[in-house]
Amino acid sequence: MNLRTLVWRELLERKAQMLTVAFGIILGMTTLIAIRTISFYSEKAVARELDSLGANVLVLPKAVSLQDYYAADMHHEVIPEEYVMRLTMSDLQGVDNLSPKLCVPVTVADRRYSLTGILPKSEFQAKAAWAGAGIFSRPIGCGVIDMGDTPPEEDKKMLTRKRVIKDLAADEILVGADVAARQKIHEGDSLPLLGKTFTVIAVLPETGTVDDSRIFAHLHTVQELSKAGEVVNCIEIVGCCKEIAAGLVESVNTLLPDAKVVTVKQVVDTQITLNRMIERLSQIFLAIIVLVGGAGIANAMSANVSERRREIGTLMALGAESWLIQRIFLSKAALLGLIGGVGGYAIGTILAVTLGPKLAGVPVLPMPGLAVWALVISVGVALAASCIPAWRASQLDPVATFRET
Amino acid sequence: MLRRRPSPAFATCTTCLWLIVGPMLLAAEARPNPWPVGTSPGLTSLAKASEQNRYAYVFFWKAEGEATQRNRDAFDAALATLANRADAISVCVAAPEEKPTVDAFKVSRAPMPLVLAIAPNGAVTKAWPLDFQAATAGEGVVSDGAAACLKAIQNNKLVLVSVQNSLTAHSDEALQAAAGFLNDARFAAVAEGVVLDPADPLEARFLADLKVLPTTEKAITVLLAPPGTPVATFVGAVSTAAIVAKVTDAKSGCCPDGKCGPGQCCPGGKCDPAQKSTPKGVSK
Amino acid sequence: MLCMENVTKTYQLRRQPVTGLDRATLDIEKGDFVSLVGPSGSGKSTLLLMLGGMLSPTSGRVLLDGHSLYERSANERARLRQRYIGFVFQTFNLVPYLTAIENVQVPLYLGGVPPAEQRDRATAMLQRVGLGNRLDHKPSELSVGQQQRVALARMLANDPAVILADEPTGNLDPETAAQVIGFLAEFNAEGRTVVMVTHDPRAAQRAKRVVRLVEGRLVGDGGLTIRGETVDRVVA
Repeated sequence: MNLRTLVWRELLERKAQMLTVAFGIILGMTTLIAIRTISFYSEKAVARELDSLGANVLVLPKAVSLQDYYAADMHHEVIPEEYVMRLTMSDLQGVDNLSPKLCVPVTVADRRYSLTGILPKSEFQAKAAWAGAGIFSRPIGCGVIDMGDTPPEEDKKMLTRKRVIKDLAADEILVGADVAARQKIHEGDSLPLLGKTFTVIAVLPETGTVDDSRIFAHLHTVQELSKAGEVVNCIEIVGCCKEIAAGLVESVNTLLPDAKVVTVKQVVDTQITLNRMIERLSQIFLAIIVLVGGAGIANAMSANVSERRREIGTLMALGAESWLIQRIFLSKAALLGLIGGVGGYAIGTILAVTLGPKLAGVPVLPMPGLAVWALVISVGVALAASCIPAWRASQLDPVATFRET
Repeated sequence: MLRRRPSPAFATCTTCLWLIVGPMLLAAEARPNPWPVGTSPGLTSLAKASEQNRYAYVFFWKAEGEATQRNRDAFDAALATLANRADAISVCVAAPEEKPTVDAFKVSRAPMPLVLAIAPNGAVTKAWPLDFQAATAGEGVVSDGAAACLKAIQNNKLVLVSVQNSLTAHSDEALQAAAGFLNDARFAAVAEGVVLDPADPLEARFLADLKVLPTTEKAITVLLAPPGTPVATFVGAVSTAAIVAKVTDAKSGCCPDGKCGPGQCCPGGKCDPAQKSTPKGVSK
Repeated sequence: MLCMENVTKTYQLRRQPVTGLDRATLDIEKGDFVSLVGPSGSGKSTLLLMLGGMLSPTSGRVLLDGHSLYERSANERARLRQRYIGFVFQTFNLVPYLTAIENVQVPLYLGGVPPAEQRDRATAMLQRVGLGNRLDHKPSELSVGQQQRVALARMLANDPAVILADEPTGNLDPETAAQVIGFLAEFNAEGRTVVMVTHDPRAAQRAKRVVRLVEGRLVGDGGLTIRGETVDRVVA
């Protein structure tokens, strides 16, 4: 016989009560853990986007509002392709790395994918030097040079990461990871799309973004096949430097007054705002759990004390001191808190990992560090809520308990 | 390939240099005509202008309209003043016979009307999309050195500009270093060299753009990369290794794949577009 | 062993004072077997609980081995109870979710006895009261007689010097009641002091002396000094 046995046997005797209290704690902790885990990875993705794309600027049709950077071209509005040349031939710094895109839906084996027309850099690269001899007096800028010595295969595979491709023939396509996996497509295969047969010259590595469901082809080929005309859905300006990108927005707005120019920061601002809202929501949740959950626990423990009045009186008659009576109830609360914390962490993590990608569009992984946090909160709330009932139990008059039948 | 712009005082000195570094340098050869003849009226006209060492101003247009007429009027007025230097060529991009011309310049999707100034060596020295101003027409005529650099840049090559003459110190070392770099197997296919005399008045504007003083006392070597930004400037003696190191640095440096952050751009860590730099070649 | 000096206990019931005990004075020697008898509400249980340090008097003193109980803190009294006093209740007051052996182990645990020794001693106690084959049965799986025997074993577990029994046979049939009284006599024969509250005359007869209470007053005892009152001797 010891304290653990006393607490555990009593818990098992009143299973319904235990399950109710534990369930309440588990529910609260599940919600907290799921929200925190998803928002952590969402924020990380935003930070990563800002980090890797932070210097990028998007030129879009005015009517478009953007939530996802990677789906910037997935809408029905268009801008003239000649905007690309306007940008390249301007004296604006940092616009030499452009990626105009036209997105057309296609069906492959009853699945819909996006046929994305992209313009290889080689088709407009030289025009960046058409601004005249004045280009030599421009400031150094990012100072990174591309000597064109990247092997073609590597250059093509880096499309989704670098956002730009150097060369692409009219009948060549690059296939996203998801498309290749589902349709069992490999390099060198032929694929008919919109009445034309293409050769797959590369299968792109997985990115975890909508790019995995794309098939990339030459922009002019896609325009011709879709009869869209000389238009694009967006122009991605791949900046190399955030400072230069920041200065670009106003200049590009002046150069292309009929288009909308957004930075990645503006695109992710929505996500950042959402993340902040979720963060605040999780704090409110925490407060609700502490107050409501705590009140529920306090209520359940008070009821438990009432139920066990005679038992408490007996223990006192047998020589139990007041601190032991308190410890019995606080230990029970701590144990329930522990069960709730562990269960809540496990279920919350599973929910986050399975639902997170669908809700937030980012891969979500378990966060072991949150387990400690969950336990501290659940046990802490359970203990705090049980303090007064436990103290009341220790102050019971055993004689009064014996008088009750 | 090394191209040089000869001037009288310079000739004697460089003859010696040629003897020293001869095997490593290719002799200057007659410039081939960059345009094929007979493929289209536009390209034929361009070839003719190049042959005659004249500039060609090409007026590309798609359809008649107010903008086309306005630009054409300005074009005609400007070319009348440049008649001694440049030929005027009109190309309708919608005309089937001009498809080779359009393809050569890849302007099928360019904003129209478009005016291009083209040097005899085939370099596009200035472009005026949508709005051609007669007053700015003269900006299309650049120095031979600038044209040579633009041509190389437009072929997506690095350019090593050696600015030196008989009076500049460390000229030999600088030229040797340049030759060494241009003959290096890693860079031979992607780099070209141009030699300029800092005292050549025709190159004054170009040198000013490169921030090189005509009175420089030391040889200056400037490394340019597409789309024309100066990547590095070496004053005085320089080694091939130093040039190679700079290129390697700039190639792999601080902004791979666009992952730049504030304060991280550029070798040296500064990326302020507004930053001013002092002209090179000022004696100490 | 146990001594009560002019102890009075009053309660407030619907704002009316109620006297539970009135100037009670009582000496109980070591090894004595005292039976407290009287009508319901006469204060028997009140007196018993006071002797056990569970109910503080309104005035007067209660002494255990010369030490005043109610000049100590509640926790100190609990420790004294744990060491010296064993309780037996009419309603047994077993912990319903513990087995027989676990119920007996509770006072051993409270006394700091190591777990291995707890089991051995508890087993011995239960075997003594004839429940060696019911160690792992919960109270709900035992008859009332068996439950009371478990309570007896629990009471004995810490080897108390004083046994306070409140109507120990109140809920038992005559045979089982006799068995329980027999056990108490046995414990008394071992030198333990027994004070028993009972309605049962046959149980009272087994005691060495009988003390009677009427309306909170001690009214008679063989060999007991009562101050200022006429003594009615009760034949044992």
